[in-house]
Amino acid sequence: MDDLLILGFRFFGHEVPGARLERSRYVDGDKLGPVLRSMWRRGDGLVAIDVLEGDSADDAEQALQEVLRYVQSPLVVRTETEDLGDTAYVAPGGGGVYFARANLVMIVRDAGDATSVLDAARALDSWVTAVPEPGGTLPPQISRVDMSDRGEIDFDITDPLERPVWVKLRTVEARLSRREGKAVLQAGRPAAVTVVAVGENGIAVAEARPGS
Amino acid sequence: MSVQLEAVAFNHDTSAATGDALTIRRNAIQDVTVPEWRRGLSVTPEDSPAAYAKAAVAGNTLTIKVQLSRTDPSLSTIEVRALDADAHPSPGPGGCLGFIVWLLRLLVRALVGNPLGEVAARSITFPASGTTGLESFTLTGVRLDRVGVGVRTTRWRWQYRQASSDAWTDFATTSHRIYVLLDVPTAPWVQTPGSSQVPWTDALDRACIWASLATNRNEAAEKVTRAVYDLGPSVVEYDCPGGGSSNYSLGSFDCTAFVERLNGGVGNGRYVNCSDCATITSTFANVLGCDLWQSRMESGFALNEILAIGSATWQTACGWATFNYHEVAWLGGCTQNDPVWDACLQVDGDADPTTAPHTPMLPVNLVFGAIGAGLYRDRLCTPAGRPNCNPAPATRTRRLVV
Repeated sequence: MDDLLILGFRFFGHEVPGARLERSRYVDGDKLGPVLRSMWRRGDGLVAIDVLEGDSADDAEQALQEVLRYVQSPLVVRTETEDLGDTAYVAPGGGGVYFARANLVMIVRDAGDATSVLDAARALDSWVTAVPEPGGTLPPQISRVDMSDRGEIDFDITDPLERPVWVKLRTVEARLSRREGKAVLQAGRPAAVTVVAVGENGIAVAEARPGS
Repeated sequence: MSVQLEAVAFNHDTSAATGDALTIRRNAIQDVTVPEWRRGLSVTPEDSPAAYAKAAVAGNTLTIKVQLSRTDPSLSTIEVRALDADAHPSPGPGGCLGFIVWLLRLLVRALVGNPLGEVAARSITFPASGTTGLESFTLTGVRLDRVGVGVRTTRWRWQYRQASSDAWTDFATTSHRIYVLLDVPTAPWVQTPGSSQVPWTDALDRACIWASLATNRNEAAEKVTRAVYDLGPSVVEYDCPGGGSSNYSLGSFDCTAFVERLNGGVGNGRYVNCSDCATITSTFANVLGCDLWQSRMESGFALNEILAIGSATWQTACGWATFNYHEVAWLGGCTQNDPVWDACLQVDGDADPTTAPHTPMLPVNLVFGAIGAGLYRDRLCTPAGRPNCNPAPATRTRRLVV
């Protein structure tokens, strides 16, 4: 089974089809940690997307449950049928979608006249889980990827214009998490990790192998 | 002009607020620089803000600090003072029109006029450099004890003279935005210089207007609660689409976004839930010196029909039969014996809150109450829901402002 770890997730503005990114910023969520808070305009409506980044999928699951503690309606219930996230909860009518995917928690909601936001949530989830091809007009550069014997993954990634880049790590039949700021592979046997660097104008891909 | 006013400092002692102004900032990212008024930089009252806590300064002498310079090297020692520019205005028209102007001035002064009085005259000796340090001046005729919460404007006419027999000469006019608070703001607000939790003028601008003229904590909290509820439906409304999620108070209070929304921007959108309303109410009340908390009642309780913020329809919230939880601004230990202020909804205030007809009542300073006491709990919950609706004082918090 694939495992994902997302590091430094951010929006570039093309993640939600048909919507324009109005604003994206980090706010201090106190015990929840930093929250990437964004507002999107879709037609006459507004869609708000908040993203919390944990150190592991378990972290994200816990954070999702904490977020749901602040939802008043008993009708926001877990859904198994929406093919969304590792765990997903949806408000009736689809005006609020709360899901965990890998180490991320995503809160997608109608912030004014947007009606259902399920499609936006699905698009976002697909963007996070996609296995992209490298390329683009000005992709990031991965100059180094190392994996120590203890599974610690280290890399140097830069954007040609020094813009922010987020990183997606993917492996098969092993678990990924973050420990003391570093990505770590927990595997019963040697496993490779695909490192995907996502920049504003392109994607770069490299592979990390144990002892590399 | 032979003398120039260089700077005026209101918050010149950041370790106390008993004889000078409070430590404030503009918002999450902008400080208020001390001295608050600087020559060439401060033009409007908003450029020179200062806040005073009525309870903290009561009975004390207030001081400001002032820096002066001379352009005439022959000036050595002068006497300096500042008059209330609105109490000593230039002569107006006479007759009937004059009386109306006088009356209007009186009204304006009573509502938003200068609470700081005048700057008492004192002697200043210029050093060789020609520019003084920040020299202490005493305020006289201070009216902070006679005014309620508010945003006021102080305008001073600065004057000097060389000899006591000389006539006073005007050399500067300054204007200052003065926030009058009941007491030193309580948490999450702090008085630690440099902290992002120092009271924001962005919050004071709203809170002081919402609670205008309030003279005690309960009155201020009530006015803030009513003002927040009245933001619906034009500015905010209850989050039915999202299932009642926290859009401004998740983890911390996104006061920046909320102020943006108040100012006509997008903010975090139009929807709020109970935690948002409790956080907004308590944070804006506490910046005035109230002492409220955000605290929950739990869990899974059936509701009477209510009027949710922004709604004109009596119904259980969005038609849901129950709330998973509810959160309000709460006083003291946040127990059933303590009063709540709930800007999220109106309950039925008549003898039977379980059935129509309904009499709208915004819960302000209403004790949570035991089951059957006819207080907040009975008005919010159905008889069957009341046993499940219990104060959760362990959840008591005051979210950080960001």
